[in-house]
Amino acid sequence: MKQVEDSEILEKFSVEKTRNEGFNLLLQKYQQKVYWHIRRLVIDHDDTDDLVQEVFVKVWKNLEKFRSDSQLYTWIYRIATNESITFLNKKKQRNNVSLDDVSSELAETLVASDYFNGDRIQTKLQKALLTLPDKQRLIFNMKYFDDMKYDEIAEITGTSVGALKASFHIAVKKIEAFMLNDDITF
Amino acid sequence: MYQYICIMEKDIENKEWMTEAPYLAGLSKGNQFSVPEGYFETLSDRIQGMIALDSWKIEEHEIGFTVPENYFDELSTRIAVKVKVKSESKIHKLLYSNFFKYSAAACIVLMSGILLYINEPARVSEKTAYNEMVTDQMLFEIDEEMIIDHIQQNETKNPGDDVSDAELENYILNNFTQSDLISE
Repeated sequence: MKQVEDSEILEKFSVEKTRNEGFNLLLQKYQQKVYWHIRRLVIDHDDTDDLVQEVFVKVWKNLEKFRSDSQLYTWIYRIATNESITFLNKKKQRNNVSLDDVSSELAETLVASDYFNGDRIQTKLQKALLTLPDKQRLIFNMKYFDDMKYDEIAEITGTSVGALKASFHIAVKKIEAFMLNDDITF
Repeated sequence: MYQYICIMEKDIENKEWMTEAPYLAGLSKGNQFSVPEGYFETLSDRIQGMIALDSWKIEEHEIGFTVPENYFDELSTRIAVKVKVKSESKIHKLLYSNFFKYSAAACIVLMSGILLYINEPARVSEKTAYNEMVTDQMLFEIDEEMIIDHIQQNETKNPGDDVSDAELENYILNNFTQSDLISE
């Protein structure tokens, strides 16, 4: 199936008569990408479901103001990233727990979830990821899983390419060490 | 050509970390998370439902309440009328309140005066006691021999030594009556 171009989505959205059709095309194109981007950050399916809906409500409200100087998908990813980071910060404040405690809470959610089918090694990889700070985990996910370029990640996170490279480099080293540590088993 | 350059760039970026983390590079990147059955088929409908609900809330029927026709057009006029009525009634109130204000002030002054009068002797005696205590403390700190010398020097010179008996007699007769002298 041929994927619809962003320019076509924006053109349809700009006309009152075809606005809903344009938005529907946008949803078809991006809803899954946004879902997985958020899911890898917040782990829990129900939290992700809430956030995905909030993100697309924001997209609907602000798409008219979107300027074509950035790509549509990086703009949507930026909204999704901000919503997810805000959610994780609120979760820390609400539960009044430290960063380590949130990581272990997310790890417990991962193990208990009906919607995680990873084997022993994949579970260990996810747990290794949860030891990283949120922003470093975000950068790692976009580079490692989504195979994005540093330029694109920089546009989404608002961080310089140099800082991103350094952050990803550190994250990779940490994960590698965690994975090779035989004392950590599940 | 552009696509080819992009792929080349990605390869270079990836090679950097793959050489540093060979174990991680060898792992499968397959998605291990899953979603409830049919989740994505209904997701766009639910998102559009949320948008419709959000727009409906903002537009008019916020939490189900409505207002009478032209309510907001007439609201400012009605507020202006009410404000005028209230400010007029306030003038009457001020007249009464001045009387109460002065009465209260007079009461406070009177009460303060009485309290001051009642407490004055106590305050004086407190002051005296404090002065005595300070003097005692000063005397305690002065060398004993100095005090003895000072007293002896004062004893040698009596204040009455310079006055003659005749002058004293005249002074007593001029200033005291006979009954005063008898009672003494």
